[in-house]
This record gives sequence, structure tokens and C-alpha cells, in this order.
Amino acid sequence: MRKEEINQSLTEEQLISRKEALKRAGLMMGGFVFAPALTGILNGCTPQAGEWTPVIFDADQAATLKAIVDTIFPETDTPSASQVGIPGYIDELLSRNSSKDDQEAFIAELTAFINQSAADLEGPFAAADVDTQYDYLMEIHKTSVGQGETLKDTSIPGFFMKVKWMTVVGYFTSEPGATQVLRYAPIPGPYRGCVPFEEVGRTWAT
Amino acid sequence: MNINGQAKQDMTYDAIVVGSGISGGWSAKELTERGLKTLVLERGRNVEHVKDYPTMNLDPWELPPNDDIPYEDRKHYEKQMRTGYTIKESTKHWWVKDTDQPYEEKERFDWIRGYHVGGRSIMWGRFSLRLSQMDFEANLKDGHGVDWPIRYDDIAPWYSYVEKFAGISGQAEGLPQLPDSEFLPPMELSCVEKELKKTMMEKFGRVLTNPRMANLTVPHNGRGQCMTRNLCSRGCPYGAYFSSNAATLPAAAATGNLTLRPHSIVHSLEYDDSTGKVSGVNVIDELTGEMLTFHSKIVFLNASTVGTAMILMNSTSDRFPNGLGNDSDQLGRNVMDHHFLAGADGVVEGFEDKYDWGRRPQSYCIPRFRNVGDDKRDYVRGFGYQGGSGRQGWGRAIAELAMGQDLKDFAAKPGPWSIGMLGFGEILPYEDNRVTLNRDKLDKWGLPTAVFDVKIRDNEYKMRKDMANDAAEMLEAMGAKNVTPYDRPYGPGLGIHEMGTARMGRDPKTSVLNKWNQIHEVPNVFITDGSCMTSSGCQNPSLTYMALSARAANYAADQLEKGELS
Repeated sequence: MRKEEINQSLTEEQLISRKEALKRAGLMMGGFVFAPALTGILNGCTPQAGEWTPVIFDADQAATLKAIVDTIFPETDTPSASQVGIPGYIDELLSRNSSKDDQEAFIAELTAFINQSAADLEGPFAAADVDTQYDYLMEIHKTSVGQGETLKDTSIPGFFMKVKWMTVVGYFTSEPGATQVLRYAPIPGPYRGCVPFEEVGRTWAT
Repeated sequence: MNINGQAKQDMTYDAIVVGSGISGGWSAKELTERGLKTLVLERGRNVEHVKDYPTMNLDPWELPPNDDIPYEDRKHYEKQMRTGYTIKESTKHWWVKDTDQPYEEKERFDWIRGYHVGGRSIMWGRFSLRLSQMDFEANLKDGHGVDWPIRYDDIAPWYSYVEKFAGISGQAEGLPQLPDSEFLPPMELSCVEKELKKTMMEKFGRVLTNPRMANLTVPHNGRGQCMTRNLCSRGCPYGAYFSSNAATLPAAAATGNLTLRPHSIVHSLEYDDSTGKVSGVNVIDELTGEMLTFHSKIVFLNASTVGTAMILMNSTSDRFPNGLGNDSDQLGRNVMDHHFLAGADGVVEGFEDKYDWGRRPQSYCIPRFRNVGDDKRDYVRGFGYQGGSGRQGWGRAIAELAMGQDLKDFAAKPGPWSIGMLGFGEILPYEDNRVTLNRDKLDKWGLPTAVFDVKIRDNEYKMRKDMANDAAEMLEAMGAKNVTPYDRPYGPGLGIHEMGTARMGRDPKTSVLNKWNQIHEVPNVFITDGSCMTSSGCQNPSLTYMALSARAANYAADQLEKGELS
């Protein structure tokens, strides 16, 4: 590393904190680790279950988004993505916590998905049955998986990964996701560095 | 008695402490416990322990995702956000707004700070390491900077003194380059950290030790033990880590000798030519804008490294036209920090039947091994590592080719163990790494603003190569996979260990402070925050500020009892 690099203008993505670096160094405490390019996207709000009045989405866009996130996390013995408030979470993180440019880019990508899927499925994605929705998204997923860089990508696979990423983060930082699917200990008590896995049983939420 | 006389009496104390952070809290505790009526001036708002920690108990779903602030608020924190971790919805109230507190950078300098009672003792990293005899001798031996006027033996009893009160957990190792503290029981290492520790000793003869930190592993002096929530920087409901608010300020208040005055921005110190001492502290009341002058026999400057230097520079007189105590022209020079963001990480296989319990709030510690004993490098001084480990979490679910129940099941299983370490390196004291005042650009209280011209140089760049390569070598030696060394851009100040602007020294011609942290030419002014540091070592500095504060305060009290200084 040379002086020129230090003095270059800094974007937030380039700045990795001590804590973040430690977290990345050790992927500490079962938390999550994002590629730096993604950190700017996650600017959102608390998922609110129940009624959602979209702020930046029209009715078609809202219905499509709900269908996508519920395909990623449908209701099983634990709640679905929409049951824990993920559509509202995505709306809020774009409307309240992101730049206008990011909002508009996302809407454009969502619109492209709506048009392409309607052409491919000969009808709206949101109106398709759940198996069709699953198969359609899984085909997209297969072309994008494992490539963090696709999150910068404005193509449909890139768009899907963005939605998946927001859905996963929102879901596991919601109370049902953290406590029913994962394990959450608000007050762990004394630290123990090496316990049998069975004692915890599931991934720590934090 | 006339009204003016009464008013002056009301504004007169035995001692004034400027600043209530980690060093000011200690100055206040010691001075009040020695029976001195003490005024603590804090430029920001009051913060009462527990009562004023609004976010301390919030769960993730009670906060915005990633705990981030609204987009439109980011413009207020462009520099404070450079750390990536300071400006969060749960902690932003501890940090200044850059739009309120502007400064100028000739080269990038990250001046990350908070103005409130307790200062950064609320948000500090809590890593607590002693300097060693090696560190106190380093400048003399290799010729960088000036010689420290003290040696390890001068400060060792005061390390013990502050540690017994503050509560430092850790494991004794008997190393000369990183002396042991008065330890509370250590917090455990994880399974993979224990494995790395073994490898390091067997293959390299190097030590890995438990975190050395101001987190209590047992109840201590009326404060509770750490519950490993790892939410320290929001303020701790148990008082389980050391802060001014939880520990020193309550002790000072208990003496009945403490007056704490928040919203008090120190403008300057008034020098009295007839006595050769400072006679008053000029304060702007943050709320009313009124200028007040407080008087005392002695003044402790604990306004933080940059804040203290700025106050002295703004305290000009016929005797000190370039700033109080600045005959040497060293005031504002030799700005140091610890350079970091170089290290390595990797993945460890074979411990899939193990997990950890709790969120340990600090890293394991690898004491310095470079340029120690017979080891000789192409740079001087050295670095230590802080590191962490843990099983990869649910974030893995994003890239996993799965949806539905499969994806929930995948997320509920933790991934392999990862382990990493991050070097913290010494920065040499360069005279032209300096902070100066811009008298043409004033802040909203009419005070001059800071200009930074600080950069790291060849010695630090050479050291960074080892910081990355040594880490990778040790991780590979333990059999870690996907070992990735890194050396990421670091800006001075990012370590939030800024220090050195009013250094201690033996010669008044080349230093600002003497061996008791007194300004050479103005004996009733003591400076025990980071500005006093003659070299930086590679150890996190707060513990040293605590020890120097307690030492100087007791010296000052001794002198007053002997009839000196007053």
C-alpha cells in the first residue's frame, strides 16, 4: 500500500473499520459477513409484520416483490418472509435509507423482472402458482449464485441476488427469524469458548 | 465581601480538570480523593451511567437493519463514518457531527470523537495493555523522537493501582515486552484459538494470550460482571466495562469534592506573568454563549490529544506568543496513532462439533515478537495482533443455491470456523506530523479549527508487510485453509489512538512536559491525556493514560500539601 492509495478519495465501501475488519478476520460470533460492495445497500429499517402501505412501489411492483420474497422464505413451520415484514423492510430501506439513485435503479430492475417474467410465464409472476415461481427463480439463481459481484449487476440475476440478500438479512434480524429459525441469546452470561455444538443446536443469530 | 469578590470565590476551586474522558475521570478521582475541591469542565452534555444509555437493551429487530442511520443524515457524519462502525443508529449519539465540528486535512486524518461526559471512555475498545521498559527506552536507543523522562519502574506501581480499581481481565504470561497487569480471571479462548496458540508456541516460540481488556469477568468494586452481549459501546447496564461514567466519576462524586460542569467549552488558559502560573480557565458556556473564568491552584488538561493541544495553542500571551508552554515549538507536533488494517484470515477445519457460547467483547492478543530479543527487521519497533474467531453464520445463506425450507435449514447450521488476526503497529514520532490552528476558519463558538498534516512513512510501510505476511504464515502453520493476507488503506487517526501533541521529555528545549506531566515552564498545569506521549508503542494506550493521570494527580496533591504550586 502506498501513499497515493491512502490519499485517494474515500468511499464508504473502501473503509473497513477495526471492528469490521476483526469481524471479517474472524467472522466473529456467528454474525454475517458481507462483501464490502454490499454494505451501502443495507440502509434499512425494522421489518414490520402485518399491514404494509408501499412507499416507493406501485401495486404490481409490491405484489411481485412479495411473491419473490415468499418464494425465498415461504411459510413452513416457521413464518414466511412477508409474515415477518420483509416487503416493508425492503421498501423502507430503499425509501428512507438509500439514495434516490439507488431507489430508482432498484425500481428499474424490478420493472425489468416484471416484464421479462410476464413474457416468459405468459402471465404475471405474482399470479403464478408457487411451484412455477420456485422453478422460475431457481433458474435465475443458478446463473447468479456464488458471485457476490452480481449484486452490483443490474441484470435480472443481479436483481434477484439483491432481493435475496435483503430478504435473508431482514429475515434473520427479525424476531421470528432470529429466535425460531436461529438461536438468539440476549444475555448469554459468561463466555465459553468451546462447547459441544448440541448445547447451542442452531446458528447464533448474533 | 463585595459581589465581585464573592463571585470570584464561587468560581474558585483547588483544581480544575478539563475533560471527563478516560484520563480526566482519573484526574478527577485522584484529586478529589486527596481532598481537593475539583471542578471538571466537560464541553458536551451530561451522561449519567445507565440512565443515559438509551439503546443499551435494544434487540436487532428494534433497530434499523445493519443499525444504519437514515440516508439524509449521513452528510452530518462524513468523517466520523470513516471507521464504518461509529455512526450507527444505536451509537450515533456518542459521536460529533462533522457539520458542527469541522476540521481540515492536508492529508487524510480521521479525527473520530465524542463530546459528552465520559468522552470516548464510553465507546473505547477496552483493550488494556501495559507499555514495557523496551517502549520507554526505544526513542533513546534508535534515535527517533526524544527520550522518555520516565522508565517502566516509574509507572509500574501506577499501572497496578489503576488496574486494581478499573478491573482488567487477562492471563499472566511473564513477557518483558508486554508486562502483565493485575489480572481478573481471563475470558476463554475458542477451540480454534487454543489450537493456534499451541501451533505458535511449538513452531515459532510466540505467545497467543487471552484478551486483556477492561471487561469484568467477576463482579468488581461494585460493578457487575460481563454478560458477553458485546454491546459495550452503547453503554453497559451492568457497568461491566471501565468508563468514567461507571467508575471514576462516581468515585469522585462520592468524596463530596467534585463539581461537574457539562456544556463548558474551554477557550483558553490565562497565564499570569507575575506568578509564572496559569491563574484562570476561560470557558464558553455551550448553552448561553457566555464567557466565564474559573480559577484554581492547579489545572489538569485532559481534553484529548488534539483538544488539549488546541487549547494551549489558543492560550497566547506576551510570554507565550506561540501557545502556552510552547517554547520548544513541539506543541501540536509528533502526532501518532497505531496503524492497522493489515493482517490475515483463514478457515479452520475439524471443529464442527464445537461452538462458542456468548459474544466475547474483545479479541485474543498476540504480543509483539518483531525486533524483540535477537529478532532484527529492516524497520524499527513492532506490532501486536488482535484477533478473533468464530463459526461462519447465517450470512452464508445469501450465496447458497437454495430457497424455501432448505434455505432455512442451511442458515440454521453454522459454517466452518474462521480465524483471523489484525496487526496494530507503532508509528514513529515525526516532528512534521502535526496539527495546527486555522484562525481564519472559526467554529460556531468562534474558536479556531484544527488542520491536520499527518502521514505514515517508510518505517510503517515496511512493518505492514510483516503484519500481513507473519499473520498468514502462522495461520498456514496451524493448517488453516484459504489463508488470505491483506493490507488495506489506513488513514492516520483511524485507530482512534491519536497521541503525542505535547510530549514529555527531559529537555524543555525539545519537549512540552516534564516527567511529572507538568508543562516545563508552567508548573501548575498538568497534561495526562494522549498528548503527553513521547512514543506510541504498539499497545492500546488508554491504560497508560490512566496510570499517568493517577501518578501526576497524586504528585500534584503531594506538592500542594508541601506548599508548592499554590
